[in-house]
Amino acid sequence: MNRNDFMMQLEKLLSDIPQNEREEALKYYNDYFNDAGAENEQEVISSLGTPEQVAEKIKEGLPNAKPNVEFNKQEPKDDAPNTQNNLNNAAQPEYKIPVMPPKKKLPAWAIILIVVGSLFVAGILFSIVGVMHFATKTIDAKKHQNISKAYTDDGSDTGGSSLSGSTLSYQYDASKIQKLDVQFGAGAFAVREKETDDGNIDVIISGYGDVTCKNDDNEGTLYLKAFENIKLINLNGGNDNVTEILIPRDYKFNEADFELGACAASLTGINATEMECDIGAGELIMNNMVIDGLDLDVGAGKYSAYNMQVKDLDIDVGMGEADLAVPSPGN
Amino acid sequence: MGNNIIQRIILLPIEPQTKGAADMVFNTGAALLDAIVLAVVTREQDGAYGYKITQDVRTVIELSESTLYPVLRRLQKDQCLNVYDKEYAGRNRRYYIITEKGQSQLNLYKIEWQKYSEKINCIFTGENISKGEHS
Repeated sequence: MNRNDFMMQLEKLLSDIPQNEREEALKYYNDYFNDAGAENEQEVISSLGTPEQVAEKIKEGLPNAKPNVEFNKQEPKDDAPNTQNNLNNAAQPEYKIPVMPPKKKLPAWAIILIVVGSLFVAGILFSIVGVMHFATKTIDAKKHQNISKAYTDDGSDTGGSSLSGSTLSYQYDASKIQKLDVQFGAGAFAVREKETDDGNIDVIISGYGDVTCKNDDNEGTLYLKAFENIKLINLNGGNDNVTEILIPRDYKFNEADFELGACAASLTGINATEMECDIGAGELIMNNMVIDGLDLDVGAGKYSAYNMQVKDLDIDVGMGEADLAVPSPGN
Repeated sequence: MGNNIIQRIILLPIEPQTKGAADMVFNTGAALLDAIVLAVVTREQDGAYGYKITQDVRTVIELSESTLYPVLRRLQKDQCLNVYDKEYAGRNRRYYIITEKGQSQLNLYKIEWQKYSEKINCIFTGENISKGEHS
Protein backbone atom coordinates (compact mmCIF):
# COMPACT_ATOMS: atom_id res chain seq x y z
CA MET A 1 0.00 0.00 0.00
CA ASN A 2 1.32 3.45 -0.79
CA ARG A 3 0.39 6.84 0.54
CA ASN A 4 -2.30 7.50 -2.05
CA ASP A 5 -4.03 4.18 -1.40
CA PHE A 6 -3.89 4.88 2.30
CA MET A 7 -5.39 8.35 1.99
CA MET A 8 -8.09 7.24 -0.42
CA GLN A 9 -9.17 4.40 1.85
CA LEU A 10 -9.14 6.68 4.84
CA GLU A 11 -11.31 9.22 3.04
CA LYS A 12 -13.78 6.49 2.12
CA LEU A 13 -13.89 5.20 5.68
CA LEU A 14 -14.55 8.68 6.98
CA SER A 15 -17.45 9.32 4.60
CA ASP A 16 -19.97 8.98 7.46
CA ILE A 17 -18.56 11.75 9.66
CA PRO A 18 -19.25 15.50 9.27
CA GLN A 19 -17.44 17.10 6.38
CA ASN A 20 -15.38 19.50 8.50
CA GLU A 21 -14.16 16.65 10.70
CA ARG A 22 -13.23 14.63 7.64
CA GLU A 23 -11.35 17.52 6.04
CA GLU A 24 -9.52 18.27 9.28
CA ALA A 25 -8.39 14.66 9.69
CA LEU A 26 -7.36 14.26 6.04
CA LYS A 27 -5.45 17.53 6.19
CA TYR A 28 -3.63 16.27 9.28
CA TYR A 29 -2.59 12.97 7.73
CA ASN A 30 -1.70 14.60 4.44
CA ASP A 31 0.59 17.01 6.31
CA TYR A 32 1.90 14.08 8.27
CA PHE A 33 3.04 12.25 5.15
CA ASN A 34 4.53 15.42 3.70
CA ASP A 35 6.48 16.15 6.86
CA ALA A 36 7.66 12.57 7.25
CA GLY A 37 9.11 12.76 3.73
CA ALA A 38 8.70 10.39 0.81
CA GLU A 39 11.61 8.26 2.03
CA ASN A 40 9.73 7.38 5.22
CA GLU A 41 6.40 6.71 3.53
CA GLN A 42 6.36 2.96 4.11
CA GLU A 43 7.57 3.32 7.67
CA VAL A 44 4.81 5.83 8.44
CA ILE A 45 2.14 3.60 6.90
CA SER A 46 3.21 0.59 8.93
CA SER A 47 3.45 2.65 12.10
CA LEU A 48 0.06 4.35 11.64
CA GLY A 49 -1.73 1.04 11.33
CA THR A 50 -4.36 0.18 8.75
CA PRO A 51 -6.66 2.91 7.40
CA GLU A 52 -9.47 1.12 9.28
CA GLN A 53 -7.63 1.49 12.60
CA VAL A 54 -6.78 5.11 11.92
CA ALA A 55 -10.39 5.87 10.93
CA GLU A 56 -11.66 4.19 14.06
CA LYS A 57 -9.39 6.31 16.26
CA ILE A 58 -10.56 9.46 14.52
CA LYS A 59 -14.20 8.50 15.07
CA GLU A 60 -13.57 7.62 18.72
CA GLY A 61 -12.46 11.18 19.27
CA LEU A 62 -15.68 12.66 17.91
CA PRO A 63 -18.24 13.93 20.44
CA ASN A 64 -21.03 11.51 19.51
CA ALA A 65 -18.80 8.51 19.18
CA LYS A 66 -20.58 5.19 19.17
CA PRO A 67 -20.97 3.73 22.65
CA ASN A 68 -19.28 0.42 21.78
CA VAL A 69 -16.02 2.24 21.52
CA GLU A 70 -13.57 1.85 24.37
CA PHE A 71 -12.51 5.39 24.78
CA ASN A 72 -10.74 6.63 27.86
CA LYS A 73 -11.64 3.48 29.68
CA GLN A 74 -9.58 1.89 32.38
CA GLU A 75 -7.61 -1.21 31.59
CA PRO A 76 -9.77 -4.25 32.20
CA LYS A 77 -8.83 -5.69 35.53
CA ASP A 78 -10.05 -9.21 34.83
CA ASP A 79 -7.25 -10.99 36.62
CA ALA A 80 -7.24 -8.79 39.66
CA PRO A 81 -5.59 -11.29 42.07
CA ASN A 82 -2.60 -11.51 39.74
CA THR A 83 -1.92 -7.79 39.57
CA GLN A 84 1.24 -8.36 41.61
CA ASN A 85 2.65 -10.13 38.61
CA ASN A 86 1.43 -7.56 36.20
CA LEU A 87 3.45 -4.44 36.70
CA ASN A 88 1.47 -2.58 34.05
CA ASN A 89 -1.77 -2.92 35.87
CA ALA A 90 -0.37 -2.65 39.36
CA ALA A 91 1.47 0.56 38.80
CA GLN A 92 -0.74 2.21 36.25
CA PRO A 93 -1.22 5.80 37.28
CA GLU A 94 -4.82 6.21 36.15
CA TYR A 95 -4.47 9.77 37.13
CA LYS A 96 -7.32 12.19 36.80
CA ILE A 97 -6.50 15.82 37.24
CA PRO A 98 -9.26 17.89 38.77
CA VAL A 99 -9.99 21.32 37.40
CA MET A 100 -9.66 22.71 40.89
CA PRO A 101 -7.26 21.28 43.46
CA PRO A 102 -9.15 18.84 45.70
CA LYS A 103 -10.23 20.03 49.10
CA LYS A 104 -9.47 18.07 52.20
CA LYS A 105 -12.36 16.68 54.15
CA LEU A 106 -13.35 18.80 57.11
CA PRO A 107 -14.75 17.69 60.45
CA ALA A 108 -18.45 18.34 61.13
CA TRP A 109 -17.89 21.24 63.53
CA ALA A 110 -15.80 23.05 60.93
CA ILE A 111 -18.54 22.63 58.32
CA ILE A 112 -21.15 24.08 60.70
CA LEU A 113 -18.81 26.95 61.50
CA ILE A 114 -18.23 27.58 57.80
CA VAL A 115 -21.96 27.45 56.99
CA VAL A 116 -22.84 29.89 59.78
CA GLY A 117 -19.87 32.07 58.82
CA SER A 118 -20.80 32.05 55.14
CA LEU A 119 -24.38 33.06 55.89
CA PHE A 120 -23.09 35.95 57.94
CA VAL A 121 -20.61 37.02 55.25
CA ALA A 122 -23.23 36.51 52.53
CA GLY A 123 -25.55 38.86 54.40
CA ILE A 124 -22.91 41.56 54.52
CA LEU A 125 -21.95 41.00 50.89
CA PHE A 126 -25.53 41.22 49.74
CA SER A 127 -25.91 44.54 51.48
CA ILE A 128 -22.74 45.82 49.82
CA VAL A 129 -23.80 44.46 46.45
CA GLY A 130 -27.19 46.05 46.89
CA VAL A 131 -25.67 49.44 47.61
CA MET A 132 -23.18 49.19 44.76
CA HIS A 133 -25.79 47.92 42.36
CA PHE A 134 -27.98 50.84 43.28
CA ALA A 135 -25.06 53.18 42.71
CA THR A 136 -24.39 51.63 39.31
CA LYS A 137 -28.03 52.00 38.40
CA THR A 138 -27.88 55.66 39.35
CA ILE A 139 -24.90 56.18 37.10
CA ASP A 140 -26.72 54.34 34.33
CA ALA A 141 -29.76 56.51 34.75
CA LYS A 142 -27.65 59.66 34.59
CA LYS A 143 -25.73 58.59 31.55
CA HIS A 144 -28.45 56.77 29.72
CA GLN A 145 -26.02 55.37 27.25
CA ASN A 146 -23.65 52.51 27.08
CA ILE A 147 -20.00 53.34 26.98
CA SER A 148 -18.47 51.31 24.24
CA LYS A 149 -15.76 53.08 22.37
CA ALA A 150 -12.53 52.17 20.73
CA TYR A 151 -9.87 54.77 21.35
CA THR A 152 -6.91 55.15 19.12
CA ASP A 153 -4.50 56.88 21.33
CA ASP A 154 -2.71 60.04 20.30
CA GLY A 155 -1.36 60.79 23.73
CA SER A 156 -4.05 63.26 24.62
CA ASP A 157 -6.78 60.88 25.65
CA THR A 158 -7.13 60.36 29.35
CA GLY A 159 -9.62 57.55 28.98
CA GLY A 160 -11.13 57.71 32.46
CA SER A 161 -14.47 56.00 32.68
CA SER A 162 -17.12 54.67 34.90
CA LEU A 163 -18.02 51.31 33.50
CA SER A 164 -21.47 49.86 33.68
CA GLY A 165 -21.43 46.48 32.12
CA SER A 166 -19.86 47.63 28.90
CA THR A 167 -16.58 46.96 27.18
CA LEU A 168 -13.89 49.52 26.57
CA SER A 169 -10.96 48.92 24.35
CA TYR A 170 -7.91 51.10 23.93
CA GLN A 171 -5.05 50.79 21.53
CA TYR A 172 -1.61 52.29 21.99
CA ASP A 173 1.42 52.40 19.76
CA ALA A 174 3.88 50.08 21.53
CA SER A 175 6.92 51.96 20.28
CA LYS A 176 5.86 54.94 22.42
CA ILE A 177 5.51 52.96 25.61
CA GLN A 178 8.40 51.84 27.75
CA LYS A 179 6.67 51.46 31.07
CA LEU A 180 3.58 49.75 32.40
CA ASP A 181 1.97 50.97 35.58
CA VAL A 182 -1.01 48.95 36.72
CA GLN A 183 -3.11 49.28 39.83
CA PHE A 184 -5.85 46.77 39.89
CA GLY A 185 -8.36 46.45 42.69
CA ALA A 186 -10.56 43.41 42.42
CA GLY A 187 -11.58 41.21 39.54
CA ALA A 188 -9.78 39.23 36.90
CA PHE A 189 -6.72 40.69 35.27
CA ALA A 190 -4.45 39.29 32.58
CA VAL A 191 -1.45 40.33 30.57
CA ARG A 192 -0.68 38.19 27.57
CA GLU A 193 1.03 38.19 24.24
CA LYS A 194 -0.97 38.89 21.13
CA GLU A 195 -1.57 36.13 18.70
CA THR A 196 -1.07 38.44 15.77
CA ASP A 197 1.42 41.20 16.20
CA ASP A 198 0.44 44.66 14.94
CA GLY A 199 2.89 46.70 16.98
CA ASN A 200 0.18 47.96 19.31
CA ILE A 201 -0.62 47.42 22.92
CA ASP A 202 -4.32 46.77 23.42
CA VAL A 203 -6.19 47.23 26.67
CA ILE A 204 -9.60 45.61 26.91
CA ILE A 205 -11.75 46.31 29.94
CA SER A 206 -15.16 44.92 30.59
CA GLY A 207 -17.53 44.88 33.52
CA TYR A 208 -18.40 47.38 36.20
CA GLY A 209 -16.32 49.86 38.12
CA ASP A 210 -14.07 52.86 37.74
CA VAL A 211 -11.31 52.52 35.26
CA THR A 212 -8.61 54.88 34.12
CA CYS A 213 -6.38 54.03 31.25
CA LYS A 214 -4.02 56.61 29.83
CA ASN A 215 -0.74 57.06 28.13
CA ASP A 216 1.55 59.91 29.08
CA ASP A 217 3.69 60.44 26.03
CA ASN A 218 6.37 62.43 27.81
CA GLU A 219 7.09 59.58 30.19
CA GLY A 220 6.22 56.78 27.81
CA THR A 221 4.09 55.23 30.52
CA LEU A 222 0.85 53.36 30.13
CA TYR A 223 -1.27 53.70 33.26
CA LEU A 224 -4.12 51.41 34.06
CA LYS A 225 -6.02 51.96 37.27
CA ALA A 226 -9.09 49.88 37.86
CA PHE A 227 -11.10 49.48 41.01
CA GLU A 228 -14.20 47.57 41.93
CA ASN A 229 -14.06 45.54 38.76
CA ILE A 230 -15.98 42.88 40.63
CA LYS A 231 -17.91 40.00 39.17
CA LEU A 232 -20.45 40.12 42.00
CA ILE A 233 -21.71 43.47 40.84
CA ASN A 234 -22.46 42.05 37.45
CA LEU A 235 -25.97 40.96 38.42
CA ASN A 236 -27.47 41.64 35.03
CA GLY A 237 -25.15 39.31 33.16
CA GLY A 238 -23.38 40.98 30.29
CA ASN A 239 -19.67 40.93 29.82
CA ASP A 240 -17.25 39.02 31.92
CA ASN A 241 -15.33 41.27 34.22
CA VAL A 242 -11.95 40.69 32.75
CA THR A 243 -9.37 43.33 32.11
CA GLU A 244 -6.69 42.38 29.67
CA ILE A 245 -3.54 44.00 28.38
CA LEU A 246 -2.38 42.49 25.12
CA ILE A 247 1.26 43.10 24.35
CA PRO A 248 3.26 42.41 21.20
CA ARG A 249 5.41 39.29 21.24
CA ASP A 250 8.98 39.78 22.51
CA TYR A 251 8.29 43.39 23.37
CA LYS A 252 10.63 44.62 26.09
CA PHE A 253 9.49 47.14 28.69
CA ASN A 254 11.94 49.19 30.70
CA GLU A 255 9.74 48.89 33.70
CA ALA A 256 6.54 47.12 34.67
CA ASP A 257 4.79 47.85 37.96
CA PHE A 258 1.79 45.93 39.18
CA GLU A 259 -0.17 46.61 42.31
CA LEU A 260 -2.83 43.96 42.55
CA GLY A 261 -5.53 43.78 45.19
CA ALA A 262 -7.98 40.96 45.64
CA CYS A 263 -7.85 39.90 42.04
CA ALA A 264 -7.02 36.80 40.07
CA ALA A 265 -4.19 37.80 37.81
CA SER A 266 -2.31 35.96 35.12
CA LEU A 267 0.81 37.56 33.69
CA THR A 268 2.25 35.89 30.61
CA GLY A 269 5.07 36.71 28.27
CA ILE A 270 6.22 39.94 29.88
CA ASN A 271 9.75 40.93 29.05
CA ALA A 272 11.11 43.76 31.20
CA THR A 273 14.28 45.20 32.65
CA GLU A 274 12.66 45.97 36.00
CA MET A 275 9.47 44.61 37.38
CA GLU A 276 7.75 45.27 40.66
CA CYS A 277 4.73 43.31 41.68
CA ASP A 278 2.64 43.57 44.84
CA ILE A 279 -0.16 41.15 45.32
CA GLY A 280 -2.61 41.55 48.19
CA ALA A 281 -5.20 38.89 48.85
CA GLY A 282 -5.45 37.62 45.32
CA GLU A 283 -3.95 34.95 43.20
CA LEU A 284 -1.15 35.55 40.74
CA ILE A 285 0.23 33.23 38.09
CA MET A 286 3.30 34.19 36.10
CA ASN A 287 4.43 32.35 33.06
CA ASN A 288 7.07 32.75 30.34
CA MET A 289 8.54 35.93 31.74
CA VAL A 290 11.96 37.35 31.06
CA ILE A 291 12.83 39.87 33.78
CA ASP A 292 16.21 41.25 34.75
CA GLY A 293 15.19 42.49 38.19
CA LEU A 294 12.02 41.18 39.79
CA ASP A 295 10.72 42.50 43.10
CA LEU A 296 7.80 40.51 44.41
CA ASP A 297 5.67 41.14 47.44
CA VAL A 298 3.01 38.56 48.20
CA GLY A 299 0.61 39.44 51.02
CA ALA A 300 -2.11 36.98 51.93
CA GLY A 301 -2.22 35.88 48.34
CA LYS A 302 -1.13 32.94 46.33
CA TYR A 303 1.64 33.15 43.83
CA SER A 304 2.87 30.65 41.27
CA ALA A 305 5.47 30.99 38.55
CA TYR A 306 6.63 28.92 35.61
CA ASN A 307 9.11 29.29 32.80
CA MET A 308 10.70 32.27 34.44
CA GLN A 309 14.02 33.75 33.48
CA VAL A 310 14.99 36.15 36.21
CA LYS A 311 18.47 37.50 36.84
CA ASP A 312 17.81 39.10 40.19
CA LEU A 313 14.93 38.15 42.41
CA ASP A 314 13.70 39.75 45.60
CA ILE A 315 10.69 38.04 47.05
CA ASP A 316 8.68 38.70 50.23
CA VAL A 317 5.90 36.37 51.23
CA GLY A 318 3.58 37.33 54.09
CA MET A 319 0.75 35.00 54.98
CA GLY A 320 0.61 33.90 51.40
CA GLU A 321 1.75 30.95 49.45
CA ALA A 322 4.41 31.01 46.77
CA ASP A 323 4.66 28.09 44.44
CA LEU A 324 7.71 28.23 42.24
CA ALA A 325 8.13 25.32 39.92
CA VAL A 326 11.32 23.57 41.01
CA PRO A 327 13.12 21.24 38.64
CA SER A 328 14.62 18.04 39.97
CA PRO A 329 17.74 18.46 42.18
CA GLY A 330 20.96 18.82 40.32
CA ASN A 331 19.80 21.55 38.02
CA MET B 1 21.81 33.14 47.31
CA GLY B 2 19.70 35.16 44.92
CA ASN B 3 21.23 33.24 42.07
CA ASN B 4 20.32 29.99 43.71
CA ILE B 5 16.63 30.84 43.78
CA ILE B 6 16.72 31.93 40.19
CA GLN B 7 18.28 28.66 39.24
CA ARG B 8 15.42 26.98 41.00
CA ILE B 9 12.60 28.84 39.37
CA ILE B 10 13.75 28.33 35.82
CA LEU B 11 11.56 25.48 34.79
CA LEU B 12 13.42 23.37 32.33
CA PRO B 13 11.48 22.13 29.33
CA ILE B 14 11.01 18.40 29.15
CA GLU B 15 14.12 17.07 27.49
CA PRO B 16 13.95 13.74 25.77
CA GLN B 17 15.48 11.20 28.13
CA THR B 18 16.26 8.74 25.40
CA LYS B 19 16.06 8.86 21.67
CA GLY B 20 12.90 6.90 20.98
CA ALA B 21 11.30 5.96 24.26
CA ALA B 22 12.29 2.53 25.40
CA ASP B 23 9.73 -0.09 26.29
CA MET B 24 7.37 1.50 28.73
CA VAL B 25 6.68 -0.12 32.04
CA PHE B 26 4.08 2.45 33.08
CA ASN B 27 1.00 3.38 31.11
CA THR B 28 0.23 6.98 30.36
CA GLY B 29 -3.24 8.20 31.36
CA ALA B 30 -5.26 10.60 29.24
CA ALA B 31 -4.53 13.61 31.47
CA LEU B 32 -0.79 13.01 31.40
CA LEU B 33 -0.86 12.66 27.62
CA ASP B 34 -2.73 15.98 27.37
CA ALA B 35 -0.13 17.57 29.60
CA ILE B 36 2.78 16.21 27.55
CA VAL B 37 1.20 17.36 24.29
CA LEU B 38 0.55 20.86 25.66
CA ALA B 39 4.11 21.06 26.96
CA VAL B 40 5.56 19.91 23.64
CA VAL B 41 3.47 22.45 21.70
CA THR B 42 4.60 25.23 24.05
CA ARG B 43 8.25 24.53 23.32
CA GLU B 44 7.91 26.07 19.86
CA GLN B 45 7.13 29.74 20.04
CA ASP B 46 5.15 29.78 16.81
CA GLY B 47 3.46 26.46 17.50
CA ALA B 48 4.30 23.02 16.22
CA TYR B 49 2.99 20.80 13.42
CA GLY B 50 1.49 17.34 13.80
CA TYR B 51 4.46 15.28 12.68
CA LYS B 52 6.87 17.19 14.90
CA ILE B 53 4.56 16.93 17.91
CA THR B 54 4.22 13.19 17.39
CA GLN B 55 7.97 12.68 17.12
CA ASP B 56 8.62 14.83 20.20
CA VAL B 57 6.01 13.04 22.28
CA ARG B 58 7.42 9.72 21.11
CA THR B 59 10.81 10.56 22.57
CA VAL B 60 9.32 10.41 26.05
CA ILE B 61 6.44 7.98 25.82
CA GLU B 62 5.64 5.10 23.60
CA LEU B 63 2.57 5.63 21.47
CA SER B 64 1.29 4.74 18.06
CA GLU B 65 1.59 7.44 15.43
CA SER B 66 -2.17 7.62 15.01
CA THR B 67 -2.94 8.27 18.68
CA LEU B 68 -2.23 11.96 18.66
CA TYR B 69 -4.69 13.25 16.09
CA PRO B 70 -7.79 12.71 18.28
CA VAL B 71 -5.93 14.23 21.23
CA LEU B 72 -4.95 17.34 19.26
CA ARG B 73 -8.47 17.63 17.85
CA ARG B 74 -10.00 17.42 21.31
CA LEU B 75 -7.59 19.96 22.79
CA GLN B 76 -8.49 22.21 19.89
CA LYS B 77 -12.22 21.82 20.60
CA ASP B 78 -11.59 22.45 24.29
CA GLN B 79 -9.91 25.71 23.24
CA CYS B 80 -6.59 24.66 24.70
CA LEU B 81 -5.01 24.75 21.24
CA ASN B 82 -5.55 26.90 18.17
CA VAL B 83 -4.59 25.95 14.66
CA TYR B 84 -3.32 28.03 11.79
CA ASP B 85 -1.80 27.28 8.41
CA LYS B 86 1.57 28.59 7.37
CA GLU B 87 3.34 28.20 4.08
CA TYR B 88 6.18 25.74 4.11
CA ALA B 89 7.97 24.28 1.09
CA GLY B 90 5.23 25.39 -1.28
CA ARG B 91 2.34 24.02 0.72
CA ASN B 92 0.28 25.02 3.71
CA ARG B 93 1.32 23.26 6.84
CA ARG B 94 -1.02 23.20 9.83
CA TYR B 95 0.41 24.44 13.11
CA TYR B 96 -0.93 23.96 16.61
CA ILE B 97 -0.37 26.75 19.10
CA ILE B 98 -1.29 26.94 22.76
CA THR B 99 -4.06 29.29 23.91
CA GLU B 100 -4.25 31.11 27.21
CA LYS B 101 -6.69 28.50 28.45
CA GLY B 102 -4.30 25.76 27.37
CA GLN B 103 -1.51 27.52 29.17
CA SER B 104 -3.45 27.64 32.44
CA GLN B 105 -4.43 24.01 32.01
CA LEU B 106 -0.78 23.12 31.47
CA ASN B 107 0.20 25.08 34.57
CA LEU B 108 -2.33 23.12 36.57
CA TYR B 109 -1.01 19.84 35.18
CA LYS B 110 2.51 20.84 36.11
CA ILE B 111 1.52 21.60 39.70
CA GLU B 112 -0.43 18.37 39.99
CA TRP B 113 2.36 16.37 38.41
CA GLN B 114 4.86 17.77 40.82
CA LYS B 115 2.71 16.93 43.82
CA TYR B 116 2.03 13.48 42.44
CA SER B 117 5.63 12.64 41.59
CA GLU B 118 6.88 13.95 44.93
CA LYS B 119 4.47 11.68 46.75
CA ILE B 120 5.51 8.69 44.70
CA ASN B 121 9.17 9.52 45.28
CA CYS B 122 8.53 9.75 49.02
CA ILE B 123 6.99 6.30 48.99
CA PHE B 124 9.88 4.92 46.98
CA THR B 125 12.59 6.46 49.12
CA GLY B 126 10.70 5.84 52.37
CA GLU B 127 10.70 9.47 53.50
CA ASN B 128 7.81 11.03 55.41
CA ILE B 129 5.18 8.68 54.09
CA SER B 130 2.72 9.64 56.78
CA LYS B 131 3.38 11.97 59.63
CA GLY B 132 1.27 10.01 62.10
CA GLU B 133 3.02 6.70 61.65
CA HIS B 134 6.49 7.37 62.91
CA SER B 135 7.57 5.10 65.70
